[in-house]
Amino acid sequence: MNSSSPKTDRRTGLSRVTLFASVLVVLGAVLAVSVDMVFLLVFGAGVFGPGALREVGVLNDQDEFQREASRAAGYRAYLAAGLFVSVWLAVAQRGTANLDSELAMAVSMILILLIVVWLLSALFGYWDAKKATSGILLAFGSFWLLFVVLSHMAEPGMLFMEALVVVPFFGLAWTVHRWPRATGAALVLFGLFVFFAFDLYEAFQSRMNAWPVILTMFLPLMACGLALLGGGSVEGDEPPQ
Amino acid sequence: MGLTGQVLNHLRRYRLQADGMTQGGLADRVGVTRQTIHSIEKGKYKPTVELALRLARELGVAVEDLFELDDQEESS
Repeated sequence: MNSSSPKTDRRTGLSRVTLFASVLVVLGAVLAVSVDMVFLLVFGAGVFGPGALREVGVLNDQDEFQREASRAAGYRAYLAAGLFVSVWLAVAQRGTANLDSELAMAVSMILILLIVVWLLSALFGYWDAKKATSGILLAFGSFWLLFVVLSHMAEPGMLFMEALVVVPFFGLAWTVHRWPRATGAALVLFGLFVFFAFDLYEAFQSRMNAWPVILTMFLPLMACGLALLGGGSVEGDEPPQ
Repeated sequence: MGLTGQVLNHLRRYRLQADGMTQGGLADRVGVTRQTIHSIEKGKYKPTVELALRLARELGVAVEDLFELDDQEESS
């Protein structure tokens, strides 16, 4: 908590940050619809910038009540966005069993992003970095194993080869408890390897099928690695069971 | 497990006893907004332990004087 009151205007009750962000929102929206949609970046900076800076600890302009209100609002926004996207996809894609348009694919990425970020935040918020990372790696490995077994039940050779992929996941899930920072570094390097080995940077050049890998593989690996390297809760007390 | 009991608070009474301190004045002293003090007094917001301790220290009372569990709510 701040040692002094958050700076707010006496008459409007708005902070300087909120006022500045409001200017960006209006400016961005006006420029986007009158000049070029690229100015949505300015709009986005106004809407999401202050919150993002607060989450990473750069901005500390709110008191605890304001933070709680913001977080409750954020959770409701998450639920509303998730439900809206689910319903939209179900209605737009009814009658098919795939995402047959670029728009449907893009919208589904929003759904995956919401779920992945929520899941990671919930795990890191409830557990410490070690236990959360261990759980995520074990889940990765288990899902992969299940997928391989179901796919290659009749091909023992192929099943064995593809099942070997789980070894690093289970291995890192074990090492994270003994050498958390070294495991964190390994996860970051592994994440970067995946990013470049699978050309995931092409996601920004209209290669839509790279996005699922980025969101479900690269993002969790980097989040776990950076959390372990950050070490905020690496050496903590026994976490809640 | 969820704690759903009510917490009664006497912040307004002790604030006014402290030379009629305003909500804004108390807010400035403990480092929050006036709206936060207002919401605590209305029972809309339960402060953190840190803020409760700051409020008690600023008003010169014990935390237990400012906040108490609603026993009637608990027993029902």
